[in-house]
Amino acid sequence: MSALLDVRGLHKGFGGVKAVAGCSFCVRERSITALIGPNGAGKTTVFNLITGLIPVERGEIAFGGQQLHALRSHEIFDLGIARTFQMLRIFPKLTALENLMIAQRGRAEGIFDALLRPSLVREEERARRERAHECLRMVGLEEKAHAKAGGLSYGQQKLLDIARCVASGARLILLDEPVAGVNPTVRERIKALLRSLRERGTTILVIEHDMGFVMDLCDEIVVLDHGEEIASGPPERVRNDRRVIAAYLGE
Amino acid sequence: MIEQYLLHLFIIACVYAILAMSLNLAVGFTGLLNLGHVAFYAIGAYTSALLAVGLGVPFWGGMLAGGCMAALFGYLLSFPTVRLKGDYLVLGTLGFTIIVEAVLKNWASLTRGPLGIAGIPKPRLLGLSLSPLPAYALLALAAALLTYWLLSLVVASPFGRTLKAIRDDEVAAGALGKDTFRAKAKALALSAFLAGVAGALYAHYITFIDPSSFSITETILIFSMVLVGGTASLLGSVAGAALLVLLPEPLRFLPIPSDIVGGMRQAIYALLLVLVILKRPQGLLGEDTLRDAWARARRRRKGA
Repeated sequence: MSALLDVRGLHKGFGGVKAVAGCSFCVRERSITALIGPNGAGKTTVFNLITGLIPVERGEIAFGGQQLHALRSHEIFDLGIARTFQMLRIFPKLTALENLMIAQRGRAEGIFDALLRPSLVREEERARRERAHECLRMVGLEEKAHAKAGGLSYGQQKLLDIARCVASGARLILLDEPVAGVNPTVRERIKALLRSLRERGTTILVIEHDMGFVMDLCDEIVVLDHGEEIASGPPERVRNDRRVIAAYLGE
Repeated sequence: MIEQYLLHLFIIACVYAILAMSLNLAVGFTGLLNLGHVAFYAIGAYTSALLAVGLGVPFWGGMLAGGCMAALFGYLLSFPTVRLKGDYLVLGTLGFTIIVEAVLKNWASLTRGPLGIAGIPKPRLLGLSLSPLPAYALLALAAALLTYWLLSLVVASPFGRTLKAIRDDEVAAGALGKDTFRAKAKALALSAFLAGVAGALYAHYITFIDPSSFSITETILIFSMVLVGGTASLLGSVAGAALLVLLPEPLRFLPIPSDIVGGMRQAIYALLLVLVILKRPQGLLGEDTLRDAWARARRRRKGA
């Protein structure tokens, strides 16, 4: 088993609050791994630490063997990690298509490249547009390509957010509550999408409170409580773990 | 006589169009609320004027130097300010304007302080003087068109899309691989460069500059042009500049004592700004006004 993401002894405090306290876990390559735990367990903080949004206090995060600490979030993205946010962070004034085009890096993104290397820019833009259409098709938003993202419904924005990660071609995708607040149809669509991504070799780490979704979809589950992992393993083992039941239901 | 007057207004409108378009790159496309634009305008004007008067550097070299000097300051200003957001950035850039104005007034050995710099030569091109008004008007028009062309290329490019993404959500732009600090610094430097060029264009036209030409009211005037025309719309900035230059002109012909004309100009600007914000918050030609109108027209033609 090869771990794509390896988190070791991660610590992060905010003032007096220990949000993450010595958390360690692995995400196997080409797996769907869930990060679950009660509210305030530190799940989103772990995501923010992995993606460089906030600095790591102590501990190590390795992605494909490379240490991530001290990298800024755009550098971490360039290594192949893309994410969604719990509070949606789409670009409301850009179209759905532009939202997906922006997630694709190119060589000609400089301020004067449109002037100095117009043919390269055109070529890259064409490739981006094609890929963006393909990803919109994948999530069933093709007719909305030219609509402003801010005008889409909540469910559509969630799909767009995931599609943006897919468009980026990232090896590891972090999803923060992808099915919270979406209707059952969209939920099933997201589930099917994540399975097909796994088929194609993408690794997925997902935070989710919907246990039906998690148990049905995930290969591995990591349970956090008070900033520490208290259990991990395949769904059936975690489901019966005494500490997990205690953390969720209270003693 | 009337021709001269109209050409003068045209040249001034071109200078302000460059200022408004370049400010719009920062404000409308990148979301940087920059109240320091007039400082870049001043730096360009003084650099070019001092080079011309002191060292005899020709206009073209001075204009380029003025633009580069302003860009350098724009780039440097980005370091302390790009981490600031919204209101704090407004205060930071406003402080920069005040500092530059104070330096222009008090560093008399360099800038001649409040006395200003007189006798700035008019430019020459291929041995011909550009001092006749029609010639200068063509120069100003060419500069405004070049600015429009350059900026429309930049904002439509992948880099321009990065700027708009930063404006919409900076955290998400960073998480999608954009180096947001660098992109903002570059946008501010380009915006400042163009303001510096506008400064040189202005200095060599009026042939006299002093610190009062670059006061905070100027910054607010340029900002109003951007808002009235529409943020994130280059044509809007041109329209805003033309409108705000021309609108108070009829005051000259009314029997009003000259000491209250200045106040009335400000009142007209304020009134227009309030009207636009209430009735058309996206500005006269907001971001997608033209594109949407075009799409509507096409739909109608198809439907017919």
